[in-house]
Amino acid sequence: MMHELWPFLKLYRHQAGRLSLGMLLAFITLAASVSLLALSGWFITATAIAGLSFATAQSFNFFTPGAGVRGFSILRTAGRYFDRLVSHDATFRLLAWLRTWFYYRLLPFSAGELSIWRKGELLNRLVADIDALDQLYLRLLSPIFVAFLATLTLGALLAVFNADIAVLIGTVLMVLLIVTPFVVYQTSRKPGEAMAHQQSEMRTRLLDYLGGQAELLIFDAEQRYRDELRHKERELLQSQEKMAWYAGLSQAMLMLAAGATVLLVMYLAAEAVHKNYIDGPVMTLMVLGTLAAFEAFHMLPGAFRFLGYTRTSARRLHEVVKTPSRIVFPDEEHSLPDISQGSVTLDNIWFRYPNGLEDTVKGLSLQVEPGEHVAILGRTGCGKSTLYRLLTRDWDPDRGVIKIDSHLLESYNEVQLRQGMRVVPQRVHVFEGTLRDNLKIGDPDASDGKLYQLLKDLELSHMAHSPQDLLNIWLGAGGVRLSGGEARRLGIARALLQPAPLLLLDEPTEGLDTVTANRVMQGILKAAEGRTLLLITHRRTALEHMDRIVRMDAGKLL
Amino acid sequence: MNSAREREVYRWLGGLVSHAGLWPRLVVANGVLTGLIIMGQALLLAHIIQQVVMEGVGVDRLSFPLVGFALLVLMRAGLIFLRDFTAFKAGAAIRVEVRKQLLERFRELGPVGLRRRSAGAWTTTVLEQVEKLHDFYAHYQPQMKIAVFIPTLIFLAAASQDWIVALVFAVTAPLVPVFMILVGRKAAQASQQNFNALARMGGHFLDRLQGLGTLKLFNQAEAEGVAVSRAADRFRQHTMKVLRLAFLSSAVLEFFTALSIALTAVYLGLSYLGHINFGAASEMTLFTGLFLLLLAPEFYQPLRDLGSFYHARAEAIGAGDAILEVLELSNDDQEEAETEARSSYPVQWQGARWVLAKDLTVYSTNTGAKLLDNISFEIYPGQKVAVVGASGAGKTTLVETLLGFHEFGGLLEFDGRDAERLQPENWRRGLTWIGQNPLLIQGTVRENVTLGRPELDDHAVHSALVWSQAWEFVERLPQGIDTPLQEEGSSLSVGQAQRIALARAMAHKQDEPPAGLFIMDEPTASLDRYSEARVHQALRKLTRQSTVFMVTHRFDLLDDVDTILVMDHGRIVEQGTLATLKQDSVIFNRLLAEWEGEQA
Repeated sequence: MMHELWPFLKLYRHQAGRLSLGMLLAFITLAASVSLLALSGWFITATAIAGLSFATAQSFNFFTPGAGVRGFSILRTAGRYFDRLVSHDATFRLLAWLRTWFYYRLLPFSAGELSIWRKGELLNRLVADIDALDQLYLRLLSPIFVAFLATLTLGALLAVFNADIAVLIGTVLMVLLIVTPFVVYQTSRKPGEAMAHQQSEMRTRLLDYLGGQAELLIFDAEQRYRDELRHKERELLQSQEKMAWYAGLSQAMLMLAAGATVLLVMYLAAEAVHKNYIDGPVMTLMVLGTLAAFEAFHMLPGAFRFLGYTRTSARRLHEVVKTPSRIVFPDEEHSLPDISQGSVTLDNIWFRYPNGLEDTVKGLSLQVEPGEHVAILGRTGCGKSTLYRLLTRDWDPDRGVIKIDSHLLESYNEVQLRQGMRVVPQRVHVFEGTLRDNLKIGDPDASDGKLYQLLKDLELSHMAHSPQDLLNIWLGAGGVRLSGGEARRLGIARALLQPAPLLLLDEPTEGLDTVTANRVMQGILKAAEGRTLLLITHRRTALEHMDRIVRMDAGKLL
Repeated sequence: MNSAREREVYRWLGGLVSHAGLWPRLVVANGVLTGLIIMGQALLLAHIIQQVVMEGVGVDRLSFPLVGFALLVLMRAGLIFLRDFTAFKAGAAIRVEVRKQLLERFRELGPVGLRRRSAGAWTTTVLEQVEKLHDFYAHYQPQMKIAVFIPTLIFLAAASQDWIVALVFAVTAPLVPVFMILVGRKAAQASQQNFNALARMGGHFLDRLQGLGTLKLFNQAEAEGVAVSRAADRFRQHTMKVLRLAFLSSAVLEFFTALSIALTAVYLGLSYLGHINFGAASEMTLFTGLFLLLLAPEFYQPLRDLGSFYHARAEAIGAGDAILEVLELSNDDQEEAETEARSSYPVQWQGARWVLAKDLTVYSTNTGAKLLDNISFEIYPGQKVAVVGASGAGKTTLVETLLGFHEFGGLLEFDGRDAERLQPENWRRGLTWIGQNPLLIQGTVRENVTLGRPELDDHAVHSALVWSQAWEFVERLPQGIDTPLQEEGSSLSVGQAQRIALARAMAHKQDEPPAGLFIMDEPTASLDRYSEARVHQALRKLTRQSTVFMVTHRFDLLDDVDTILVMDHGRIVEQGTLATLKQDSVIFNRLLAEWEGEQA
């Protein structure tokens, strides 16, 4: 179990100071509230005894305990406030840390490998997993630590007055501290795992149900599918109910333990008072102190129910980060010249996707001269987009050789390859941010004037009146949604900001009407002058200016 | 979210409680009973200490109160167990109800309405958002009531013993509603802010991960990593500023708890010593004093618990907003009234169907744009009709209208029956559809082929697969027709998926009388040329007896079609046989020329 959580626990050392401070404050708060109740109990018992005779009443020093009571109440209030402040701040910092860490861990993967994770909401799940780890500290580490310290402190406090009672209570609490997590973790693990499984099963069913509405209606399976969904939901609820059952049971057990301990302290202290081992006020102190100390244990069952979930999250993240990327680039220090000509040679390329049933590219060969403009025409599924992915090294071919400027594709380092080749992918990702931010991905140093001119060339300037308003339009979630054609042109703009010797475009005019498509193609051709252009498309719009059109079918050129 | 919307969502959330039946009330009863037991425990504890310390009674004579205390512990443990269970039941009942309503809404929206968002987005609403309602009903709402009952009870108990201590409670008691509001506002604001910040941060991070491929292509991935950490840091600073203030509210409650303990203790102590001579304390026993001291923290405990459930309220309102937004979506307000009038008797269609459309008009539910504009045509039983047109001309919308997925104006008749008076399942009986983008469900090849007809045997599945040219690759799968088709890892190509979908259409119809109406939307668009020709041949054989309505871009397959409808901008602009259209049409000939150009 620990080996799954350990790598993540190790990350906590980056916030070790704040996290320790948070735990310390949590402990101080608890200690103050235990002390407050215990001291108050001692105080009124002592005064009640002293009050029995006038002389003792007059000589009773009530200033010291009075000040103690006031002090503890202030300490408790302040402790709670700063505990919350510090622990939230530390959690936020951890969150930032974990995310950045995970981001850099994903960097070595190619776009192709990443796209597999994007499917099936896997990426969303990974983000949720990271969130679960953020909570590891607040919900797991801190409660355990506080409960442990509380046990030690209560033991020490009791030991001041009576060693026997202290040892007995200390032992009971320690056993509780070890047994509770174990029992809770063991009982809730199975339903917890079942829950995770049922949840993901319900998700796939639901995705099918929603995505396949048309099919399900036409093939008369909608009702059956909906019944199945309800059935899955019932199964999930049953697991959750079991979890709630165990949760209630563990809380109840803890309450029994707390009650039994208080009862035991009461019994032992009463006996000790009777035998004059301790004073009456000390008995009140012991009983009330024990009562208050159990506050530290209330978080424990929750913490360990949570552990199973956290473990699964940690395991999933671990699997991702320890998978090596299949696509490896050579080191930056490299004597190979940068790409300058843009000639492309494909020689007998074969490729099959991981888990694919058949080859997508089957022995494809193509020679593109420097500066040549070539269109690759073919229908959906013929493998032309795969060709794009092989040229960008989203994937590497299984067999065959790809060369750019007569050097092997895989001998260029990543910076060289990206600088030598500008691309427009079929799916353009629109980032949350302004239009300017989105464009500047293509060239971080581009001036607003240059960006605006490009938007005008690509007929994207209609969205706002002034250039500033246009570039400041907020895109992505919570902002303006671009149509398919607009997003595509945004992608083209990114690629054309810093044209490279080789331009590679996958369906750049998809979703545009013929007139716009023609104009956009003119913009592309203008930017591609003197450069090599590889255009992958299934449309024939505006292809008359290309030097050559090759047709692709079933993974081969015709 | 503005406050008007928030109130609206809150009202909706409140209205749902009736679906939870008795459970929420049981949770409240449990909380109140627990409060009474806590008071009982305090009573016994104070009594035992009084007996031992003040009266010098030995433990052996205290077995009655000790056993009583043990019994109360048992009862309290039992109540705690029941609390978790009843709270779960209350929340679960609501979630079941809301999911039911959502699924109901999805069915009403239909395949076209559902296109407004991705399946992933809908799924998040049904799974995650609905889960977030749970704690609101399980904990927050009952606690609202408990937080009123318990302090009242404790105040009454205190007042019966000593008016000064009661006064301490009473002075703070009117403050309690004030703090309820204060804590409510501030804590709700805090958890809302916290929650929003986390959601925004999560969204930003996810966005960057999803675009990581793009960032890499432009050499920006390393640089963006710095931005990711900076963004997280900015969010932290902003949120902490809000939280710093908001945590004060919980500190205030903490302060009151601590203060009431301290005040009670000091007051009692000084009274015992005779320094204070007012109030009842001068004659008060240690028993009463301890009892009051133990009650002091419990007076505020329900409020503190309520504070810890505030995030549940914020989450529920956030999630409720998203859910309500979905439930408020509708295709047409009058839909329900119309459904009433639909005939629910099963309709027996006989043989090939006869289709009549008159002034068919369809508007987009999203943008309100006209998708189909006064379309009229008639297809006689057994006729083969092809629809051609540029992309965006409305071909697919027309197909979807024939399938009953769009609300429409005008008249649509099947065999002389008004389609609007038909129940959807009657409408679709005896009709088969093969779309552009086949959808394969998560499951085996067999489950995909037998969708809708689970009773089909191996032989039927096999022959459907052979017919659709799918057998050649299904045969090579590790477990044949029982191989699961996984989504992750994309094991099938588009063309292969299309062939499975064709087999499904075939299996669905094969031992019934020939389908009355075959609707096809470029069924072979993603097949390679070789497979396309063979599938076309098979389709032709299968549909010999049926009425066929086929969207196509293959102009070389129009020879044996009876009528060609030419669409442009949502209208039928030309129609006729291949020969007549070739002679005297404008748009058709332009499309034809374009296509011929592509073939060159």
